[in-house]
Amino acid sequence: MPADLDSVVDRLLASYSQVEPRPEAVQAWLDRASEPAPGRRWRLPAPAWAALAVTLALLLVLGVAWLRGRNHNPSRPTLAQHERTTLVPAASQAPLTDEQKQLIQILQANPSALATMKPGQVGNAATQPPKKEKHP
Amino acid sequence: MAAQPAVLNEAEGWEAAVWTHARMLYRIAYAVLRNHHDAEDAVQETLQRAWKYRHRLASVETPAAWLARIAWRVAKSRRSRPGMVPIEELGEIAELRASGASAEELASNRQLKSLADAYIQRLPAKLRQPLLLSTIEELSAREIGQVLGIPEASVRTRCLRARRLLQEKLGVALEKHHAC
Repeated sequence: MPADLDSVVDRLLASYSQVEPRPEAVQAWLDRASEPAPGRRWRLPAPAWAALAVTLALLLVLGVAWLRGRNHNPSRPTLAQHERTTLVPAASQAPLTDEQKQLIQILQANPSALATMKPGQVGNAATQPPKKEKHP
Repeated sequence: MAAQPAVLNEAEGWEAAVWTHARMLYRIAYAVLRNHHDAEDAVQETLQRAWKYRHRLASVETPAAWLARIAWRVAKSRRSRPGMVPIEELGEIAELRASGASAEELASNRQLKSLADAYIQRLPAKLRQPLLLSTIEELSAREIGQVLGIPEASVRTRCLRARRLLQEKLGVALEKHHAC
């Protein structure tokens, strides 16, 4: 008569997890449990992460500010940064007056000088040589 | 200087708990992973996690259930998908059964063990989990309930249902093969 399946299942389940760890394994687990895990050895504490995040944010702000400053030309008004001025004579054969010639020279050489000039000073300013830019 | 004995007590308590429950933890890991090497790794991870919260060990109601819960979670996270049921290997078991082998002889048969193992792994999780933990003699139904977060009565009911299902599947597989 075949064995009763109920008692077979009983025995199968009883032996299902009847295993013993290696004798030396327990001591090894105990020793290693208190060691930091390899992955966690380089894990930073929360304040260190916060400091790192603040430093990176500051660097980002400085970088953006530097980029903006690089494109900024202080010799021209902000609104005129990207403006271009083209002087076209009203008639190609009409002779330019001395004042007009001097004005063209100033615009080519040192346009920022116009900001501080008063009417009638054009002639004087044109005679002055443009300031030399200092290079580091 | 007053803190010194407390630290020593905690360390001693931890070490004693590990020595007491190491076998149970290993069995839990093995019940889930079915592999000695993986089970050892799982116990190692369990103890590393438990070490972090070892101060709780003195205050928990049942340290065995607390550690078992961690081991259970670790083992579950490492468990791979269940394999296929090795139907082609049933010939020897069917012959053994027909020849009137005892329950002990049948239960110790390697092929029947692997067949039962495969069927257990394929049981619904709700039934498989309490059944697996019930095979660990160190755990009571109450502690199994604590590990799984279900009432003790549910543990018993689910184990019974899982057992019946397993028995039914094994019976069907053996009868089918015998008929062939």
